[in-house]
Amino acid sequence: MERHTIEPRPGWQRTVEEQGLVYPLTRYPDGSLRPYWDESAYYSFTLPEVEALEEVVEELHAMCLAAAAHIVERNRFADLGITDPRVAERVAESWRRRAELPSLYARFDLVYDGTGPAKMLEYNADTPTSLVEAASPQWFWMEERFPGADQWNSLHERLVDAWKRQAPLLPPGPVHFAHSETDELGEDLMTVAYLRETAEQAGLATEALSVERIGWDRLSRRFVDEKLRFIRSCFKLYPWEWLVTDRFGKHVLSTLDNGGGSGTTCWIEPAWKMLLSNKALLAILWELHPGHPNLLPAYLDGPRELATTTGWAAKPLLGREGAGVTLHEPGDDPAVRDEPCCYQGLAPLPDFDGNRTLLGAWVVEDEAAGLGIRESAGAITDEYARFLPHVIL
Amino acid sequence: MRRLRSSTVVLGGMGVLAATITACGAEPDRRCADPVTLEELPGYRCDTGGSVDDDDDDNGSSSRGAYYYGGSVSNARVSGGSFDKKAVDTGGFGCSSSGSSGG
Repeated sequence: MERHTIEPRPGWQRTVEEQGLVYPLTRYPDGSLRPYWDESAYYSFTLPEVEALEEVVEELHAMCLAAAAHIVERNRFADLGITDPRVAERVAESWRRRAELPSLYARFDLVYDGTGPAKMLEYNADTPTSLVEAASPQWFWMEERFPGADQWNSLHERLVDAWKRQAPLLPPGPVHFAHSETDELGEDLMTVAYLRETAEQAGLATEALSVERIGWDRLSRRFVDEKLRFIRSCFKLYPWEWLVTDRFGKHVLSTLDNGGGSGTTCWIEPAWKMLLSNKALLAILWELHPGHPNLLPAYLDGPRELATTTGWAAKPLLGREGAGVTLHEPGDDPAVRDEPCCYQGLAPLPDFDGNRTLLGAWVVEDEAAGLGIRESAGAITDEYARFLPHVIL
Repeated sequence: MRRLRSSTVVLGGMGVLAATITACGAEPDRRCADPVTLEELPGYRCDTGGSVDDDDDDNGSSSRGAYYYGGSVSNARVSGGSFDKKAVDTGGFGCSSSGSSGG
């Protein structure tokens, strides 16, 4: 794994916009716009490096599914902060009927510097973004810059295939695709538009709207779109914990199609993804596989020995895009935070030429599907991170 | 030789898709229907302003149609929509947060 600088292609901004990265810039707190897609550098990997990472991803994915089964069997929902018994019951049912429920994709965040084992930071299994840039502009960049080379990136093909394969699980009618209007940067909209495109390419009929515009018909007691058509299935880039706690949450639970037409609205990703996207998963993984080379120690009751060994990261159970994460050096006060957190051993992101690098390893259905690399200036990968392409040489 | 890349990536105007995904002004389809039998009726049976056809005594209460919003027609009967547009409540999602829902 090496970082190389390279001259950006002339007109790269327009190019990547045409390739689906509709918002290639990020607005900074000072109001300035800076590139999010950054092709002034790239990373190269060897094939053995990528094949080893693939194996790690598929093993971690299998371990996460086993942890989800454990949470359901041992009724450990309270550890995840899921205290509403109706929600727990629906999630458990969703897990048991998962073979009947469409489920598309997820992203592992890994710490890896080309040496030593990759370490899992978390699993974004409910609402992962940074998908478009990995699937499309990154692929076209390789075609142009390194024709004939390879890339760990079969995302597009696999997403289209996944929709085709799972089409029989979908209820009749179009699949609705919903994003949230509160994301003014447009990343959510872009991700949803791209996934809608992959569904269309799989031959599915689709409709699009925002979650804010989803209607509840009090007479038919069903979710409807803006044209009052029933929403029978909906891909939502909207976290489950909000879906079930918003004002319409009770309707989500009462009409949930949790497999086999058991309700009137089937949501994608399915409810059991709540088990994986919750940071408590990290502590449960460590409990089930203590000392595993690809895991970091993680606890729910405080930093324990991490207070004196490696230091720790305190992560709110439901945080997103690095929000609310605090980092602590060994010797810091091992105080437990007010909100429920996971306390995970500190694994500093590797430094490549002054950039802090994080690997996003994609899973489509149950298989490793590709890589997206983000760099940030600081130790936490946040909404100001930049995306850099990679190639296998 | 093993390849880890997609063999092709085709995008059919996603930028356009992204721009239209939030397009405003989506009005539900509506059609005239009998509120009791759900039979689709000719549009004039829903005309307001004109007099209700008092002389039409072929079936009393069902002589007057009402607009049925959304849904579809199958076997000349409407289904999957609603007679009462006001019965649809919105804004029940998305009020609990700001910023990105993704991660």
